[in-house]
Amino acid sequence: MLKTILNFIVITLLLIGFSLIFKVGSRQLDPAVKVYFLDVGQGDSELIQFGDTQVLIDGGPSSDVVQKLGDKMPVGDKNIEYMILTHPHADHIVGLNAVLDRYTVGKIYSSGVVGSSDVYLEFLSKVRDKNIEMVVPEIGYRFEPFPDGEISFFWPGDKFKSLEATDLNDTSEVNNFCYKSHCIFFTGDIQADAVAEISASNDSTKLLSEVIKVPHHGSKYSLSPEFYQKVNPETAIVSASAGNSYGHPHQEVLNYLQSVGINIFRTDQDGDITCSFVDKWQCQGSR
Amino acid sequence: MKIFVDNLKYSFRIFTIVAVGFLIGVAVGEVQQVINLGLSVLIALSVLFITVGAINYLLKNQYLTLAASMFVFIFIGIIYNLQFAHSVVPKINFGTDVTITGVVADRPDLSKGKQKIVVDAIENGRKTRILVFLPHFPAYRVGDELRISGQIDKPAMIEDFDYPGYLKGQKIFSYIRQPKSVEKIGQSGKIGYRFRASLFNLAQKIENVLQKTLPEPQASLAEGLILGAKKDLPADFVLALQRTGLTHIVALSGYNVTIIVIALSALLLTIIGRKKTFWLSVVLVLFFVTMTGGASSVVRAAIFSIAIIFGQTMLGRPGDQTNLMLLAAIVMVLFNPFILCHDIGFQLSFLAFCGLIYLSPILKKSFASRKGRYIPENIRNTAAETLSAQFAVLPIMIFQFKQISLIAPVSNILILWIIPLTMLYSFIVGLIGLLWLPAAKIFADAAWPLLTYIIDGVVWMSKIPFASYVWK
Repeated sequence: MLKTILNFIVITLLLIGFSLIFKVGSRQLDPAVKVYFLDVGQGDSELIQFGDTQVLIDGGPSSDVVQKLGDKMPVGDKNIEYMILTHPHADHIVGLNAVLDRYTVGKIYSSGVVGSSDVYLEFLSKVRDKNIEMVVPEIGYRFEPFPDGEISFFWPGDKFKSLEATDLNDTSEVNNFCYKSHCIFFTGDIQADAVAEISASNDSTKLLSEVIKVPHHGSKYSLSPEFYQKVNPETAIVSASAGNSYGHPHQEVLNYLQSVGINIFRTDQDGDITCSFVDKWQCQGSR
Repeated sequence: MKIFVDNLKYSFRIFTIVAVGFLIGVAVGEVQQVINLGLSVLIALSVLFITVGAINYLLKNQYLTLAASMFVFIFIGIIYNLQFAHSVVPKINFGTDVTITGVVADRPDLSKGKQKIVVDAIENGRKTRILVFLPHFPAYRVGDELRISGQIDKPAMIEDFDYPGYLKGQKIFSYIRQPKSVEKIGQSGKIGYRFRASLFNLAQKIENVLQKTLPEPQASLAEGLILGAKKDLPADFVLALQRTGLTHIVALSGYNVTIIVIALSALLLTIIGRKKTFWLSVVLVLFFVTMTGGASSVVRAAIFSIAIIFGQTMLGRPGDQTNLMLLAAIVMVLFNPFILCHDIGFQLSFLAFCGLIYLSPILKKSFASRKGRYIPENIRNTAAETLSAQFAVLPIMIFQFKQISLIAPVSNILILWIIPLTMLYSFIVGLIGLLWLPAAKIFADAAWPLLTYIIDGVVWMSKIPFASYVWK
């Protein structure tokens, strides 16, 4: 009996030793700041990561996102510091419910819009149960998730806080992430109205970004040349699934982006897209 | 032939023949042409063969007596199946709108953003099980009493997959695909539901602990191993399991516990002795049944598994083991004759049992000769027993997955032995996490390398060219 217990302790310690070696190893391997546009099917999910600090924007339409996080995050890191819910449509929020079950989440930013879908109510009840701080960022609000990195919010502020909205897409949180003043622009599912308002109320010095996530999975109803001129991106990223029933991304959008010489990456064709910071943002697909 | 004839003198051979006859009958009872013959013809035929048997018995013609009694039992099997079907198939007007009140009978199957539940309901004065398709949220639990209305339909073939047959194995003959309304009206007070609901709650809590302490896909694999839940396993990993012939480690309606128990008992038999091996395996099986919430297919595989270990550790002789296997099969078939043709977990465990009885002695002998004898005996035996079980289930595996894993003998030897240890550590993580989460994280660090070994090993082996052959 004593021998069995002793064997058990030795085996356990050996196994823990293995884990520790891997943990230390995986943390030191990757000194670069990375932004992942995760291939989660017809939906959106983006992960900003530096060391073991993460900002997760949306979670896609299924729990697949947790597999992606297991792959991209350091071994043993079960803590996501910041989460941004752009808007509570299923293709953005379902995966976040799965994330809340598995990770401790520090702080959540969202528009605070009122909704009655089952997934959103589930999300809100999980946030309440776990006592996670939920913030509605004002337009212009900014925070530093890690040194030299900054996230700023452009839309919608508290316009929809505690209110119902006829179109949830336009309530999307819009923000950018800048590392050493090189920016990536996140647009959620905003459509014509919100796009127009954002580009009217900001000059190009504020919007200027190297990479943009194309609004609303590449829908033609969000296409605004004026907006793209102000953001002036080199690279555009479309998050959509192959053969989706909406026809995303629409051909008009792809044509426009190509005509002004913007590189296009698509999660349906390129898989997970990783943008790493090496003097500037450099993006690469996984396929 | 000589041996068989000699054995006929013993009464246990008579049981073998009669039991095989009965099982053949139950299987034949699924054939439509036989069903069309009708009950009276079948009864007439069995009376005829009883007479033939009696005459031959008086003439001391024992082979013909046995042959006749086998036929009698074939007919009894057919009649049993038909009578059973007659008594459980509900009288439903398919295609009409109905409102049913029923109790959720099993753990809801959550996958791809959908929720499938089975409800026990009373339809036209007869107890019946109905499958209902629902959205992912809100989640229902075993024992919830629901009022559901919608169009009730008869299951149809899905391409070349026999969906009606698959559901028949679970005694389900109808489904509601798009319920118009679902309303929770209460909680069933019956002890059976309450017991299973509390088992599911426990499993749910352990699942939460695993999800909080392990990364993906390790957490999903641990859930698959100890809770039989495969909903979150990534699709490409499931494919890798199929390519490497290792699907049985996480799923397949309880067959996983059969194969793991076979491997474990072979490994332990020479180390800790017969009795201890038997009881340890029984504990493992019961634990697995508990964790999976006692789903009926798992219970059936568990009965087989216990019979197998009992046969391996306590009986030994193939003849005794054969009868033990047949007895276990007949008891289960009496409870639900449809499983014989429609429950894959039952079929796999049954065939694995056959493989152990008839194939593994041959394999063991050939492993023991020549160079094999330099390998330690328990490793040789583990390999022989798991391989013989795998060989025996091969026809069903090929039929199910339309592919044959060529690398399976290697992958099973490399992966299977570590599964019980992985289950142990995953379970420790879950259990300790119920008490104190930080302590569970320490054991999660111990479970992680084991889970990662399995995942990386499977993925790596699945990438080897010609790891499997796929039928188009």
